[in-house]
Amino acid sequence: MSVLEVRDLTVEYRQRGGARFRAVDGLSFALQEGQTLALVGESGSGKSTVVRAIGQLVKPTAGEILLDGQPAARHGAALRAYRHRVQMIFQDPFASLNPMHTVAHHLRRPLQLRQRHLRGAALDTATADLLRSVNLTPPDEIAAKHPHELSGGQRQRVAIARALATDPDVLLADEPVSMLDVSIRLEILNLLDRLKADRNLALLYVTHDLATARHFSSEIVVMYRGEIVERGPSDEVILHPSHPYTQILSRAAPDPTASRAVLAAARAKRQSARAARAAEEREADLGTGCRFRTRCPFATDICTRHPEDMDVSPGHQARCWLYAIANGSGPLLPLASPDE
Amino acid sequence: MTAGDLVLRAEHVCVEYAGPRPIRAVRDVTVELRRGEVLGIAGESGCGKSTLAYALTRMLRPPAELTRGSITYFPDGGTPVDLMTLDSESLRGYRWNKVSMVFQSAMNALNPVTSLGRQFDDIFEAHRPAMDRAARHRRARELLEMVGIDPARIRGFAHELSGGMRQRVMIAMALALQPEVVIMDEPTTALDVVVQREILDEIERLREELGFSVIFITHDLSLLLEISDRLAVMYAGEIIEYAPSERVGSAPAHPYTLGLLRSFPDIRGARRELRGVPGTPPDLREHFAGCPFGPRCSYAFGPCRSVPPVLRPVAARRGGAEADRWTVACHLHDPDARPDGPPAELGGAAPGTATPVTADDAIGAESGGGER
Amino acid sequence: MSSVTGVVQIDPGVADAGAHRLGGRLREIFRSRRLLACACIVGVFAGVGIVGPFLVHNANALSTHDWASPSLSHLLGTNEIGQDVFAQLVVSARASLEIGAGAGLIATAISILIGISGGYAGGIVDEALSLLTNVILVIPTLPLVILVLAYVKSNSLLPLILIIALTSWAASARVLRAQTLSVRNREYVLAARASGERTFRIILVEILPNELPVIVSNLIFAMIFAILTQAGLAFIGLGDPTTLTWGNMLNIAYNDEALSFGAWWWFIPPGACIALLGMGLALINFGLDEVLNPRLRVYRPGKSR
Repeated sequence: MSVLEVRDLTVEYRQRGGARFRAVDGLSFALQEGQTLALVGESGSGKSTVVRAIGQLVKPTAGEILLDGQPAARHGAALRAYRHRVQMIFQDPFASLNPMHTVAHHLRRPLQLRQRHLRGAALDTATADLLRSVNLTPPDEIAAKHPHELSGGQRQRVAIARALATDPDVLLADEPVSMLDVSIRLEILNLLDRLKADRNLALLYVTHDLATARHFSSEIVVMYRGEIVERGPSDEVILHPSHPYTQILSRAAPDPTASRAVLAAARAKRQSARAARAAEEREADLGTGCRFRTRCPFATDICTRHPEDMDVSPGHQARCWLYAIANGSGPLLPLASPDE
Repeated sequence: MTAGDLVLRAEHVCVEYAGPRPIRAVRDVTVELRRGEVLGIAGESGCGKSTLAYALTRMLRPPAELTRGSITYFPDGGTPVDLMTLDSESLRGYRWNKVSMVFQSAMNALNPVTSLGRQFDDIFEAHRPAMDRAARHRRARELLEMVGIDPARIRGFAHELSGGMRQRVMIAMALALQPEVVIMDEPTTALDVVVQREILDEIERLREELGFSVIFITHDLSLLLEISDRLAVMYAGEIIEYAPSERVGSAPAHPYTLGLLRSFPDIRGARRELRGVPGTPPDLREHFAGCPFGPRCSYAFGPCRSVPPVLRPVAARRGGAEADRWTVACHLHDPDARPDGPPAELGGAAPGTATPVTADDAIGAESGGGER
Repeated sequence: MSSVTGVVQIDPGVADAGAHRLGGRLREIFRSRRLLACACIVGVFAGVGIVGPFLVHNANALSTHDWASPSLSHLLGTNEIGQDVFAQLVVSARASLEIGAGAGLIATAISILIGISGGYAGGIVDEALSLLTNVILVIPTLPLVILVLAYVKSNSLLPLILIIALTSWAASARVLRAQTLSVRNREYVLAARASGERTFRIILVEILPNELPVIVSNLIFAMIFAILTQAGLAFIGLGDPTTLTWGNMLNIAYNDEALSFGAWWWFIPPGACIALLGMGLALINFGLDEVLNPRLRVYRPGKSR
């Protein structure tokens, strides 16, 4: 059974003028013990909202969050117990720590929230253990420091230690490395991976970087404008992106190994594709059709009907009419090869 | 676009931030930009690349100041101009006319309370006083159209645009006076990968159309490998590798460059153990006895602790003409310090062979340096 | 084209360092000469207020030397009934400071309570507290105080302090509410919520410390306001006529026509003291701002910092 399951999660915001904006629309997925699920999408896709909804910092408009099969508590002591089991790591290492308090304070509070009787020497030992588990040594020195005395990478490690202090079962990492220097990103991701394995955590890794999503997760879910447009095993989704949006994402990443000629050809192709499409799409309400159709190179009339999840291969689904089985034969249109 | 002659040269530039303990942000940096070329400057936070960019346009404000070095601008068919000697009038003629800048965060650089048209007006009023109102308006609309934005937006405001569109407006402003050099400081960092790709394509198209040179500053080394002709890798205020981009991706010379490259997992490559560069960048207030990268380097040996390395040409066995000008500041490439030459993954070849290795092969061949 | 902001931040963390470490700021305070000077002025007044009355003549003692100009025996001369003006000035210092500190502290405490609670709670609680704040803000303080004082007849300073406090907390509360709205959404507060912290602790431990600079600033302004308001009230004859304050002195001096007698030593010093104390406090405020927020510092090349 999955540790945390999200069913038909919907989050709406009320905007100026009364219009409702649906940041997350009917999302469903599950997190398994000891496994990482990568949630991939651009800004505006709603992925941060999903994390906040699961972390109960934002109230869902509809849908359920199930922890060990039971609906998540919304109030009081039961909610606090939920929070102890489902912890978050935020994107900005500078903002997620209170500049007025020491590292020790940041770790002691969650430790004490979980174990009320922890005091004095035992508390110090627990704090030191936490710091060691995220490779921040020597622990006593680090514990006495304030956030501004630490580097970005060290701050993020403190944030991870804080999340682990309540001994959670689920870790929600919202773009944990995108604001860190490139050379230390992999270290932090490796750390998260190791902690996940050691403690058998269910890790939700939210990112816009497909490469790290692929290498650090077993399953990928791609979001676009509040919906899941593709899901499947990581290698499958990256090596054989099926939804046109995933294909664009995959092709947009820089490819350092390609030769100049290949790059120039790819660029020319993109230019002409863009010229052929209408000028910038707006945030307007697209009605009930596929939300990607204004940017989709394969859009046809059928796309004004909202697509359903279609199977591409076992375990791999895409929300796109391209994969509707027509007359029992293969997909409607030829699959676009990612190497094009 | 083939590179021509020099258009900008910075020699032995040193920039310091004054204070009780001065921060030496840029230490003895020499770079050259040729006409029609894209020079990439790669480095992470605290390496001094943004400070260098501001120095090149002489936009440094106190407490930052240029303590040493010269910056020379070579106008097309004119006499070279030493930027340090320019008074404020001539400096104005240089800034934005000849060299302009695209800043990192458009929302910080665009005025939020005036319309875009007004901001274009500011540029023209300052630098082209002869233009009348109608001409300014026309030119502004032309510029917006050139970067792919609906010219009707000229009356609009910065906050009405998306991040990608704002960055395009910044680019349009930078190109308003048809400069010869555009310095771009992390222009796409805050943007999504899809929008980033669009902006980069846009820059490339404009470059082909208008023929300006670009200094592109970013921490994303993989991006630079794609779009730049030459690149300079900065670390702790110094340039530690200065190389043709096409070759450095397959066999970097400096261990830091290798580390940086390895920090970008290949999206389609085989799964492998992923490692970045352990440790943290050094404090720029310090004076380094040896190589500033030494403490984090898994290849560090004898001289690294005590002797600062200087930029020297990379071993000739890499092949390529003199014009490639590949230099690196690393003792591994010093024939006196290490007669056998550097390790295989940093360009050293087993005797008899001269073929460059790919990054993936390099990972396999590496004899596992120390992790810190 | 908007100009480039001069300071290129190398490490945002380093730049923020000073703003948040109040303890470490004490050393910085002593470095700023302006701040030091103002702190001294206020310190002198405080010292005078505390120990002064023990060191001077009896302020209420009558003597036969009326209208005496300053001399060695009476440093600031005497008033119409022979009382030593300097002694009166010193004794008034104590009263004025009591009022300033008392009303200022109470007003600030109220503003913290209402501003931060409203800002954090949001929803209907925030709406209600905002309404209260706005109503108090809009009511003109002086007429209200005059009205209340007319009903309350008391011989002590306490009612006066309370009334001033109860009518002057609103502006601070608004500022604190706005600040809290901003701090509330910072990620470390969200992280504290996500950890399961109770609301009360979040406000006390996470939010309040970050608003200390604003609170200190509000406190000082409240003190200035209280002193000036009381001086104004006393001058027009309201408040406690038996307690000696600078405002009282001005009132009596005016009523006894010190102006036409040319007894400048009677009516100038109290006014000067009010002005000086007010200025000292205000400048401390500005100086503290510079110290607590490094970004406001003006760089003076050549000066060691």
